[in-house]
Formats: sequence, C-alpha cells, structure tokens
Amino acid sequence: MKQTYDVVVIGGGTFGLFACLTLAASGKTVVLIDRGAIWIEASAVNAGSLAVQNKLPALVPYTLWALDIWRTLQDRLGAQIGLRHTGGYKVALSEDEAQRLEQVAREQEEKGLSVSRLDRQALRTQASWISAEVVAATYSTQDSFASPTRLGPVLRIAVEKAGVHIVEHAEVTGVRARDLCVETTRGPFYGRSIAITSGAWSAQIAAMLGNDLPILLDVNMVSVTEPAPRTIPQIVTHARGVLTLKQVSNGSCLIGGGWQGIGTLADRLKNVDYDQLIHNLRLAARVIPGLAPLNILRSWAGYEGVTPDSLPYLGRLPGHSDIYIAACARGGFTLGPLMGQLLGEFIATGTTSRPIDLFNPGRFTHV
Amino acid sequence: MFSARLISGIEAGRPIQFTYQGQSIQGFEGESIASALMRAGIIGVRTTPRLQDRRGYYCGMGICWECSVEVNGQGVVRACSFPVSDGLVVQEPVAMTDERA
Repeated sequence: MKQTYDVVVIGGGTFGLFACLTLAASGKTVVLIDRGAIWIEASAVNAGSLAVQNKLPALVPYTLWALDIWRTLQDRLGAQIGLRHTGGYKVALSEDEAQRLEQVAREQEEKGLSVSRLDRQALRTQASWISAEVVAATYSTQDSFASPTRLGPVLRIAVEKAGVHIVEHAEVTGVRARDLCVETTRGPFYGRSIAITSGAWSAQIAAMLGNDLPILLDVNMVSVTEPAPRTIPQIVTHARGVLTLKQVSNGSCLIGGGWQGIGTLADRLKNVDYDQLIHNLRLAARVIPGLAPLNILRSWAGYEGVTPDSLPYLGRLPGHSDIYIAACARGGFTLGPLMGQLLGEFIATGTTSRPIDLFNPGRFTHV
Repeated sequence: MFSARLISGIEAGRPIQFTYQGQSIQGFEGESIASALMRAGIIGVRTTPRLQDRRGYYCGMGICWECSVEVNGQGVVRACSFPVSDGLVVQEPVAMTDERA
C-alpha cells in the first residue's frame, strides 16, 4: 500500500528537525528519513557556539532572529539545552587583526548588531583571564552558546510528539521528481513535496535530480578539556575566525575554530589532524593562559558543508516546483532553528516570515 | 611454554613509598598509580561532582579518564598510566561543582 506524505524530509540534523516542527504545526504529514541515526553529524558534533560576532555581516540579522528563537526553546521544548546567554569577546592578537576586527565590527553594526570596543587596558580590567597579548577586542551582549548534545534528544522527542514519522538508517539511493519519490535502502517514500536538509550530503541528493549544487567540505575539529574551576564567563571568538572557546556547565572548556581534520564524504573519515590541532590549542592557550595546564580529554572532527559564498541554500531547488532545500550555513548550529522554520513556512504556505532571496539555491547555476 | 614465561617472568621492581590522600602506600618501580592503589584495596579514587559517585580504574588504557587523580606539581593525571615514584603525593582531584546540580 502506497502512503503519500505531505512532505518527505531528507536529513535529521538541525535544519531538518526544525523544519519538521514547523511543518507539523501547520498540519502537514511528514516523514523524516536519515542515512544513519539522526543528530549524529554536524548538528551534534559542533562546538555549540551561538555567536553573532563570528558571522558574516549579511547573516547578522538572521543570527539575531535565530537567537530570538533560541531564547524560547527551553520553554518550548520543556527541557534544558545548556543555553547560556553570556555575551562574548572577539579578540585580536596583532594590529592587523585589530584592523580587521574593527572593519567587520562596522559592517556588522550596519546590519544591526551593537558591539562595544575594548583596548588592552579596558580588557585587563574587565576580563583579566584574557591574555595581555590581546591588543583589542569587541564585545557583544548577544553572543551565546548551547549544548548540541542536549538539544538533539530533546528535539527528537518534540518532533516525535508532533507526529512526524522518523525513519533512520534509510540511505537515499535515488530521487524521482516525476512522482516525488525518495528511494531508500528501506524502501520508497512518496511526498507531495520533498525537502533536502542533508547538510554536506545535499549536493549528492541534488545530483540525483540532475542539479549541480556546489558544496565544499570542511572537516572541523573540536576539543574538550578536563573540568576546571569556573574562570571563563563569556564565549570567546577571534578576529580571523580561527578560535572559539567557552567553558560549559561541568567546568570543561570547548575549543574550536574551524581547524581542519582529515577526511572526505567518500572515505567517510573524519580524523583529527594533530599537526593542525596543536596550532588550535596553542592559540587557545595564548588567548587564555589559564588553559595551559589543563588536559585535553578528547578531540574530534565533523563535516561541514560550505557553499561558495558561505551563505546557506534555502528555497526551491532550481527547475523543481515541489522540491526544496535548506542546507549549509556557516554557523549552522546558530541558524538552524530559523533556517528550519523558514523552510517549513515556505513549503507550508509559499511565503516566509523573513526574506530568503539571499539564499537562492540557484545563485551559482549558470545557464 | 610462552605463557609459562609470561607468568614467571614478571618481577616486581624496587619498592616505592608514596601517599594517596595522606595515606602511605607501597608500590613498585614501573607500576602505575592505579595498580598500587588497587593492591592497597583502594578502588574508587575520585568522586563525581554531580551524583557524588565513586569512580576509579575502568578502561585501563588512558581513554576514559575515570581514574583521574591529582599529582603534586603535575595537575590531573590518569592513575592507570602514570608511574609511581618515591614521595609522590597523590590526591583526589578537586571536584568541580556542576551548574546543573
């Protein structure tokens, strides 16, 4: 017996799960399929940063809107998700970096973010745990973080409660536009619409439909330290985007910054590259000297799909009226609740509560 | 033949005295802290911050960090993979309070 859902969602990361919530709330029947278990790739293994200051200026308004949603999530989902609205410092270690910091701060201010500027002395007074080597910093009250580990299971329960059918370990083997059928290793799924929320794998799904959707792969590394006395009240980011750092609820520090591990989608590896990791850790200890004596308990790496302009894809897949995509935002963990919601709105109603023209999935399609 | 050699071939090194929580413990040169503590009947070496559980030697190969102890001058080390030495001062690591608690 052939069952047809209103929407077949491909990919159970943050974009897909939040899209499911919005679709289900508007009365749509939804099946969410995933090649493995849901919430095990980028959404789960990222460092949990919800920083505005490390976003592209064009994404600042979207990040602020996303943070409005984040602030409601704990109540909406009825569980702790490790949300800490701490504010954050973005630091520069040289005059060159300080210039870059200032330039980006101005561009972000034009897009509606307010930041305050600190010189070395002001920073020493306000945050003595940051090294005197830091020559300048900007501070935003908006920068925050949350726990990917906590959000995943909570979100899953909410999506199941909303009536969404979750099918895991169903790898997509083909997608037919003609009858909107997603063929998988666990059989076919039919929809009135299809939503591709497959992160780094979205290009492979798009290719099954004849679409060339450029997505590059980053393999980002994250490390966690042993628990330490509570010293770092705010999230820290870097003028060149090469460091994120926060101390989470058990006292451990999470260190990221997009340093590259080793692996590809084809070989399915995501290994730590220790030659790169050492630079990541040295930089962290240079910015916050108190980190130096701490043990690193674990380091890991995860995939991140990246578009040529680092802006997400969100909209209709070019040439298809009933196939949609939302994928690959730089800062996807931060933007996920908003991107998923906008995709859900777009599929359910044909309109979105925020503009999505910037994210047109056809912007790199040359005819 | 091979297994017999393994059993008879293990000889304890030179005796070593160190302390755990102020208590004098005997170990042998080349042995790990965890090994010496287990022989002294000490299984739990630390307390978890949230549930106040006792934890100790678990994976035995430096992966799980359950046997974390504090060594004077070294900070937190894994008891399973840190050798004993004369006069070593070993203590439970300072349990961090958990904000979730």
